[in-house]
Amino acid sequence: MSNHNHHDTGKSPWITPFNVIAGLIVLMGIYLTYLRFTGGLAAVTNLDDYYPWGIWISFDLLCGVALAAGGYTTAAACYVFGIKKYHAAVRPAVLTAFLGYALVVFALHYDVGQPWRLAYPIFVQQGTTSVLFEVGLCVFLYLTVLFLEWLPAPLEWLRLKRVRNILIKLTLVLTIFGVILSTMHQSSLGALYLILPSKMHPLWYSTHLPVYFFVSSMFAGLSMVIFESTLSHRYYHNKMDKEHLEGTPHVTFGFAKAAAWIMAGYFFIKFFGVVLNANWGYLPTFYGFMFSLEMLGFVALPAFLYAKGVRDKNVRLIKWTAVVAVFGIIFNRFNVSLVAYNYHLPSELKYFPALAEIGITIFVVTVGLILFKFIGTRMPIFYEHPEFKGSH
Amino acid sequence: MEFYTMLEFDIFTKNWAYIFMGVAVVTMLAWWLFLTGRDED
Repeated sequence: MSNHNHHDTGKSPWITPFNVIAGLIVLMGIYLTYLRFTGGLAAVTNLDDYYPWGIWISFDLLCGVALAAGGYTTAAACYVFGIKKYHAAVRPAVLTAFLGYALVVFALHYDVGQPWRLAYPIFVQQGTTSVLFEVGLCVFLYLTVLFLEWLPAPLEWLRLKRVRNILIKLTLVLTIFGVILSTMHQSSLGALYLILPSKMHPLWYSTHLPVYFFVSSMFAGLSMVIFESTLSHRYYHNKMDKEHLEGTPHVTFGFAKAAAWIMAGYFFIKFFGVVLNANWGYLPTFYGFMFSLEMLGFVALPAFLYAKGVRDKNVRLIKWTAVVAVFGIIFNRFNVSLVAYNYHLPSELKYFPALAEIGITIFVVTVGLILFKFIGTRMPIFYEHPEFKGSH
Repeated sequence: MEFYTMLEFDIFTKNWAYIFMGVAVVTMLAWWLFLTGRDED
């Protein structure tokens, strides 16, 4: 083992800026949770019959799932395509994905209520003709797969060798299963909106929405891995071993290059959507401005900056570009689910999230950060456990 | 743009789609060369 301080599990003080702010947010979240589950949706949201889905679906679910795509992209690159130089990125990416999906399911409780019935669509009454059933089934299965992919880390931490070794043997099968499930539900989230041809703005509505959602999830995941790696290097640098530190530039440049290539393809297939539906006339409108901003500012620009960063070996540029790309995915999912949706309604009937809704979303993200911090500081995520070196 | 028949709409959109597909193929090739232009291996 290197001289890195892997087992510094902390005599650090409890009162830190992070803990204080996170603690206050959690207290706020518990209070809002109480309001939600005693007073119903009306007590905390601005949802109505026009907008049954609000920010919890737009951000917590659509963005959460897209940004958690780093799990399947990284695992596929390393184990399916055999690009072993990305190995160091697998565990942080799988952890981010696992927490992302776990929080998607957690946040879904606020929308649907009655948590004891969450398993009904899978085990009690399957709506097999519904796209939403397919999404639910895939998320349920993929969360299980991600849990199993993540499990070796806590098992190594707890030194439970036998179970851990069985799971390691299943890595390839789990990765393949994860890629299949991701392909299915990332696209199905776009397919959910196919039912709304008259309610969605023509610039975003397309029969190819499932393809757009799936392709954009790929570069969302890659960008999120770069973004998460930047933050991890800032806060967990002392936890990282030599392999992790040496592997990071490969991940940054490799993923930036892949993202730039996929983004260019995505730009063109979105552009063909405009061409094939003859939507040119909508471009000089407010919606056209939002669409153009999304495509030029958050797809074409980051694609170019990624490519420039790769050519110039400019890590700093790539890291900032990842922030733009991540923000771009959030912008796209909000555009599809809130801006383009019900575009014909008069402005007084349009939805804007209530403060309590935003508060719960901040609470959910904070719970994710707390869990990431807890796991990242204790378990072998950024380094190989000395007893299991080179065995996965 | 006014379209009076489905045929007019199809001819218009498909014509442009074919033109842009050609543009896309050439652009993607150039993009790949730009992206990998300074690769060492």
